[in-house]
Amino acid sequence: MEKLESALNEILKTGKGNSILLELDAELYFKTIIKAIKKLQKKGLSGIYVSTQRPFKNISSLLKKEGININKIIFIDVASAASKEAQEKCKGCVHISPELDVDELVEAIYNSAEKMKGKKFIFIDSITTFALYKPISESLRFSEFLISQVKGKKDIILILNVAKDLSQKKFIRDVVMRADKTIEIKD
Amino acid sequence: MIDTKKLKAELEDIPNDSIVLIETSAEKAMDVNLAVMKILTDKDYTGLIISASRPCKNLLVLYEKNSINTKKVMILCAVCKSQGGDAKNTERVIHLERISALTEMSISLNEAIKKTEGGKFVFIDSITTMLIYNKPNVFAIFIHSILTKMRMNMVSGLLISIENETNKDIRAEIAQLCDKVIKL
Amino acid sequence: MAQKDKLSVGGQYPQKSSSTVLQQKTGIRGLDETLNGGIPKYTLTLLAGTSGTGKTIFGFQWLFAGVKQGENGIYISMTEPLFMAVRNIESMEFYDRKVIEQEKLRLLDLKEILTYGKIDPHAILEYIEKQVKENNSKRLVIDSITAILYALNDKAKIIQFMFELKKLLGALGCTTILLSKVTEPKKYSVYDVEELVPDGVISLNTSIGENQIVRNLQVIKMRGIDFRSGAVIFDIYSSGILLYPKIPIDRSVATTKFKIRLSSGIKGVDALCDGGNDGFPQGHVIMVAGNTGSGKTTFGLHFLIDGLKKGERAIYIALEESSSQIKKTALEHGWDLEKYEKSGKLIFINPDLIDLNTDKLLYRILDAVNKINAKRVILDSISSLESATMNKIKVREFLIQFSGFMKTKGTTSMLTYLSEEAFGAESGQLIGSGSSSELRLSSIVDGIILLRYVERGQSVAKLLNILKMRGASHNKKIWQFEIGKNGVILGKIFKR
Repeated sequence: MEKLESALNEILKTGKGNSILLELDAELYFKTIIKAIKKLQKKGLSGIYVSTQRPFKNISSLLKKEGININKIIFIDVASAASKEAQEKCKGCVHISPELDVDELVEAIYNSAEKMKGKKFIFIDSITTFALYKPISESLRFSEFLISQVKGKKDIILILNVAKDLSQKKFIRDVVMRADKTIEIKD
Repeated sequence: MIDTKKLKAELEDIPNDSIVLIETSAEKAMDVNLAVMKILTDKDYTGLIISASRPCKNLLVLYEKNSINTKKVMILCAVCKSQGGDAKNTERVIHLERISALTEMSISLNEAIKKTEGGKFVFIDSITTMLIYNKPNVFAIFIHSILTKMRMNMVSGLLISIENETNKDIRAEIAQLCDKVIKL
Repeated sequence: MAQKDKLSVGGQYPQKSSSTVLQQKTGIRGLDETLNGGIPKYTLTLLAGTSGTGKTIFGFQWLFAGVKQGENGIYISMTEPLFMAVRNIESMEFYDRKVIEQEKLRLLDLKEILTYGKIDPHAILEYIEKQVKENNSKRLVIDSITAILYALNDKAKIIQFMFELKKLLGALGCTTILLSKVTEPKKYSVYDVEELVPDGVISLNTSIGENQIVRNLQVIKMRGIDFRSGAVIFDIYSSGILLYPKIPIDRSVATTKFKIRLSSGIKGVDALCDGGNDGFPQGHVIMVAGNTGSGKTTFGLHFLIDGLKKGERAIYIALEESSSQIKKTALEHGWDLEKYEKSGKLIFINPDLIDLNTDKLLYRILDAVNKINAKRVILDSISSLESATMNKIKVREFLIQFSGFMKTKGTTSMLTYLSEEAFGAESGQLIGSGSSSELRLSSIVDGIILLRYVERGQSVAKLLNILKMRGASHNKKIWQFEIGKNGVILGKIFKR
C-alpha cells in the first residue's frame, strides 16, 4: 500500500501519469480494493466506481461495512446489467442496459464525473470481467475514452485492477489501458 | 483427511450473500463436499447443489451415511442424464441435460432459489469438472452471472476447485469474484 | 489438406530457377503459389492500395498465420485507433482473441507520435526495435507507412528512414509488411520513392464489375525469388483473402489412362468410341457440341447418372440453367439427382454469370473435385462461359488448366458446347464448323461428339457422329438417335 500511497501523492502533486494499474492477488482481491479506496478517500478524493464484478447492493454494503463513505462514491452497476437481473433504482447508483453498450457506459462515467467537484478517481473493477462480455475492439474503444478523459487532467485519477495470475495482464496493461504506472500490491 | 475444524471456523463468520472458493485436492474433494454440507445443513441452511462430479443417487446415499439431513438438500444433477442413467425429477433432485447446459443450469438454479424458503446456500462441485465440458470464457460468464444473481438474492455460495487442475486464467477470474478463498 | 495437394498438379511447382532464399508461408491461399513459396524471410515488402482494397485484412491474416506457425507478430497502427483495426477483423475466421490477449500478436498504437507534425524517426526506430526484441517478433505490419512519410515530408529523409528500417528489421530477423495507402490505383506510393527501398512491392487493386467489386493483386517486385507476375484475382471472405492464381500443370503427370474406360451411359455409344473397348478413356475431356435442343444436356446427364449409379462421385457445373432446372429435367427421365446431392455424392456448382471469373470458377471446380474425389465432371456449357466472360482467350486458358487438372486427378469430363452451324448432313458437306473459336477449343479436348439435325420429309431427325477421340479407333459413321422418356436411344446408321 505504500507504493500506492506514494504514487497517489506524486500524481496529486504533479498531475502527471494519472492512470494506475493495480496488480492484485486473486485471493486477496476485494480486501485490497477496500484498502485502495480507503486510501483514495483519505486523500480527499470522491469517486466513480464502475463495478463489473459485484452488484450495487453487494458492493455498497461491503464498502460501507469497512468504513468507506459511500456517499462520496457514484456506483455504475455493470454487474447487474451483465447478469440481466432487474435493477432497482438506488441513490448513488447508475444502471446501464443489459447490452453493456460501451457508449452508454462512457456516457454514464462522463455524466457522473461532471456531477462531482474537486479531485476524483475513476475505479474500473475490473476490465477483465468486462472483457468477458465484449469483444476486444470494444474494450479498446472503452479504454480510448477513459484515457482521453484523464490524460492531462490534474483532478482525475484512473485506477484499474487486474489479478496477477491472468495471462492477459500484460495486454491489459500495455495495450488496453496504457497505464502510466503499474503497482503490484501484495498485502 | 481434511481439517474440518478449520473449515468450520472459516465458514462460521461468512455472512449471507458471501461467496467462497474452496481449493483442495482431487482426493479430498468428496470429504470437503460432505463437511460443507454437514456444517451448513446443521445450521438449518438448505443446500442447493450443482453436481457435475457425482450422480445424485450416489450423493444422497453418502449424505445419509454421514448423517446429513437430506431434507435440507436439493440437487441439480448434471451427471445422470448425460450418462444415460435413470433421470426422473423428484422433490429433491432436478436433472439437467448435461454439464454444458449452462443456460438450463442457470434457469433451474434461479427457480430452485425462489422455491426454497429460509436460509440457503449454493454449492458447485466442481468448477474443475465443469471446465472440462465448457469453454473457459463461456464458463466464466456463467459463474459471474449466477454469482451476481445469488448476491442480489442474498444467497451465499461455495465453489470447489481442484488445485492445479483448473485453468489458471479462469481460476484467477473466479477467485476475484469470491469473498474468500479457502485452501484445504 | 496441404495447399500443394489442392492446387498443384503433379505435386510439383515448375521452377524457373532454383532458389536458396528462405521463404515464409503467408497463410493467404493462392499467394504462396503466386510467390512460389511465400514471402522471403527478413525482407521488407510494400503493400500498396487505395482505401478498401484489403490491405489491413491482408496484414492481419498474415500475422495470425505467422502465430500459427510459431512466429510472434506485431501490428503497429499509425493512423486509425486500434479498436477500429481490430473491429474490422473480429468477424474473420482467422481471428483468435487469445492470440492478442496473450500478446503473441502484439497491437501497438503509435499515432500519438505523429500528431501535429512532430516526428523523431530515431525514436520510432528505437521503439520498434524494443518491441520486436521484447516480443521476439518474426512478423511486423506497419499500418500505414504513409502516415510516417507524410510527417517526414521530404524525399531524402523518407529514403533514409526506410533504409534504416529495412536494415534494423532484417538484422532482427523480422519480416515486415508496410501498408501504403495511395490515392490512385496503379500507384505504389505517395512520394514515388517508397517503392525503391523495399525488397518487394505488392499492389492491391479494385475495379467495379457489373454486380460486384473485382479485386486483383499483382506482385510488382520481390527480390530473390521467382514469382508469377500478372494480376491475380482475389476475393475477401469470412475466412480471409483468397487468391486465384493460374495453376501450373506438370504435363508429365497429366495424362489419360487408356486402359480404364468410363461408360457414356448410353447403350451403343460406348462401342462407337473405340471399337471393342467400351467408353471414354479415363481423364479424357469430351466435348458434346450441337445446336439448341439437340440433346447435349441429356448426353451429359446420361454420363453423370451412369457414374453415380456405379457409386462414383460427380460434379455438375451448371452455367446454362439452374441446378434446380437440371434436376427437374433429369427427373423427367427418371433420374433422381437430388438424392445423390443430399448424400454428398454429387455437387452442383451454379455460379452467377455476371462478373464471372474463369480463375475463380476453376478453383471452385477443383475444390469440389478434391472434396469428394469426383471421377466425373459435367460442364454445361462452355458457350455460356464464353458469353459470360466475353473473352474466348480466357476460356481457352481455363480449358487448358481444367483439362490438365482433370487428367492428373484421373477425372473424366464432359463439356457441352452450343455449335450454331452443325445443321444438315448433305453429301460432301464439311463436317464440323469452320468457326475459329470451335477450332481453338477442339484442339484442347480429347474427344468430340457432334449432334446435328437433318430434315427428313416433314420432320427433323437427330444425328450424332464422333468427330474425334484421341488414342482410340472411333467409329466414323453418322448415326441417328432419339430422345425419349428414358433419355437417348441410339438408332441406326444414317442413310441419306
